[in-house]
Amino acid sequence: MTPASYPDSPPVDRETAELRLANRLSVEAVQVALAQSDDATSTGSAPQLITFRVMHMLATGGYEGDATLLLDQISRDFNQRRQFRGILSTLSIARQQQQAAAASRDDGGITIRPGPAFDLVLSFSSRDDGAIYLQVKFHSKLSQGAADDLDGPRPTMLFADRDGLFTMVRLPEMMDDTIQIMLDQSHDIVQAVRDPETEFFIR
Amino acid sequence: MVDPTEILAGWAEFTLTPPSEYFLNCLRSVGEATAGNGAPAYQPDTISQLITTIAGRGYGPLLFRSVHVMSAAAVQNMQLDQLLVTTHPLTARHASRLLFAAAPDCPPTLVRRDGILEFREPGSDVTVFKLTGGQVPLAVACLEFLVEALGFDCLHTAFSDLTADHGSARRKAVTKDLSARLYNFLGEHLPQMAERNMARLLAEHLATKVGAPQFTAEDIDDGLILDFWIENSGDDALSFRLFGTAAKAWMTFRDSLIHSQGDAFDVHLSLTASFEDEDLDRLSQLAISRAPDAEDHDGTTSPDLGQLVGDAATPTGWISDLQRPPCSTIKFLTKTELTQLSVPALAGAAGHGLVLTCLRLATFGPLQNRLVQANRSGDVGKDDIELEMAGITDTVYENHLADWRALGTTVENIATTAFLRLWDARNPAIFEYLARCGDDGTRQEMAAIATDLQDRMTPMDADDDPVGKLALMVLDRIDTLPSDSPLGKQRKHMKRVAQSYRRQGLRAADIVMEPAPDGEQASGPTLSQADPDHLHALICGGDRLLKLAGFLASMDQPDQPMRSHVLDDLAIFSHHLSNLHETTS
Repeated sequence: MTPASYPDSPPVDRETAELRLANRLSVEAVQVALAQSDDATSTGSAPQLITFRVMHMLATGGYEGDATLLLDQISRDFNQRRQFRGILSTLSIARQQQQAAAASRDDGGITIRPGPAFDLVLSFSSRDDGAIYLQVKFHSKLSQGAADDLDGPRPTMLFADRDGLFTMVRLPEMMDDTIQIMLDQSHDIVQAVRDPETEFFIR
Repeated sequence: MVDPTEILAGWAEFTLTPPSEYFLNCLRSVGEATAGNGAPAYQPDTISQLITTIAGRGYGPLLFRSVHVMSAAAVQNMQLDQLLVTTHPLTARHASRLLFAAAPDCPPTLVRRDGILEFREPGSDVTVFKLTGGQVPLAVACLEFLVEALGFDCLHTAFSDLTADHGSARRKAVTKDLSARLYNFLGEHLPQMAERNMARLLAEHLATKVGAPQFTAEDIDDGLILDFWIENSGDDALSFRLFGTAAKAWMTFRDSLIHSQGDAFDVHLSLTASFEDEDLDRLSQLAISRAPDAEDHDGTTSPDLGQLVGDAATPTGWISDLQRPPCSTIKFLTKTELTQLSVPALAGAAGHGLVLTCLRLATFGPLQNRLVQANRSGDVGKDDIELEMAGITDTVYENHLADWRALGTTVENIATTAFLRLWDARNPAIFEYLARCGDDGTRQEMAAIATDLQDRMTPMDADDDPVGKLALMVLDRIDTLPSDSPLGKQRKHMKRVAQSYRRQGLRAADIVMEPAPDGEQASGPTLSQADPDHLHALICGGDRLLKLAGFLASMDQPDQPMRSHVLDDLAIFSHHLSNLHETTS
């Protein structure tokens, strides 16, 4: 048996041939590695660069840009969602995990979502102007939880992770273990409180 | 700022296959990091060292130091983010302030002495590791890179482990785990060193045989591959013990030589195909901004276009296409057929030049795998090898060729079935099939109908998608042809073939047809209402199957004296496999 001839094939210099072979072998090796990867989406997108430090600033309240826009960008990318969730989990001073649908209760127009560290309470404004009050009621002094001293971390932000869609509100001063904030009905955090699958993080 | 591309651009191993953008972005994130006061978090030389250490895969000692830095922070009740995100740039002096300040409640496992942190084993005074302030910035930069590359969760878990246990065994375990994760990450994002070495070895061997620094595809033939394996399989320093490894490497080399003669668009294959879209967008922008009439006054097009990504058209590529979306929604080939196809497909698009190697691979590859397996579980004697060889008859190559021929027919028939379903769905892709696979009578009849209808098309018909309208009119006309016309006979033949391939997605009932709106049916040609995704899968799969059928047909060697080859190869492989695998006489 004789190999087929390629009369039209010009020769290739050794350096190019070697590099192209290595290139092909590398690509094949990478393709095999990617095919074997359990997490097919780990490199499955071309995300805009949002570094750990930017996410850290966002989670700790130091981010000076448009937080909503940044949260939208994070929400759109699997890797960044996972990264941000990991950062929030570590840095949060209190957390409320997903709950069964029956766990929250409606009581005369008031929605109460109880949790081990704090409850979230939604109530309509008595002026009937479409506004909603969100109350965060802590069960105990926060300093007894994440920090040991009474001057420990003051809650400043409430983050919601609703099936990978992050939203947040900045929290005002706490009065008697309760924080109250007025929101529009259409605010994402209002929808998030009503969804039992949402997870909340307080930082 | 130190950009990784500036450093890595000069590295020979990244000339054709650069690291992935994802990897570069992870390094850029560290390089661009700013401290709380707005100054760059790390010194430029720290970033340069990090880039060269990671890209050069010499990260072992650095990783070990980084784990010790984490451990020192954990021992002193710091949080991971306190270590990573600092108010001031992380210089050696600041690192000393951060980690080396004498903490009153510091456990005896961490001792500060003469500006050096000493890690001691719990319960003993034995110093097991020393860390200086000058080593900390690079170690922390490495940790920040790991956060970007492996994720914060991964590092946080490692940090928690180190908080719970201050012993050296735990630090080693954490280092080992991070090292394995980083190794896998780099495997996906950096060109592989092993492949570089293999390419160099094959090129050296070929240059010796050819006697010139230039190669053609014909230089790599069946004889060269077999000789190379016999010469090199016994060298433990190389990885060519298996004939399959050597054969696959040479077949890839031959195929890449053929493709080396293509244009610049074949040169660059992206490491992460997922970035293709982004690259295409970027390169399109480059092409537009650097078009000859825009900026390039010398009339040349942008060299960056040569970096365009794309897959080479090879039989293995066509097989892969059949197994991924959109084709994967249809069961074109069974697992057995795919396995059977995989061996000849390795030879590449011009595989007919290496048929004998493919036959050797199909025959002796599985046999050698069995011997390797037997070696692992015990001794292999001469009798064992002779017994294996006795199972190979002198018709084995002819049998393989017959199997591939039958497989070629099956593949062609499945393509025929796919295109029949497209015909059923009144999809114009059927014309391409009829043009490629029909006989002269079919083609002539089709051309006559098209010419006739084109002449009759009114100007109004021609206004909006004239080609599409003409295609549907041709299909309508074909429906009215007598069954003994060439096109009628072709359709009858396709129907007969399709009866034998009622596979999932290929059955007539799998083409979901929704009734067209009444108005359209009354006034114009019938429109296809089938699921567009399914039609796309049929078109793509049908095309790949036709290519594979053509490739298998090219492998057919009807006039070759195969039996004498088998007898020669039995003697060669029997002797050589005994040398390689026989452990008892």
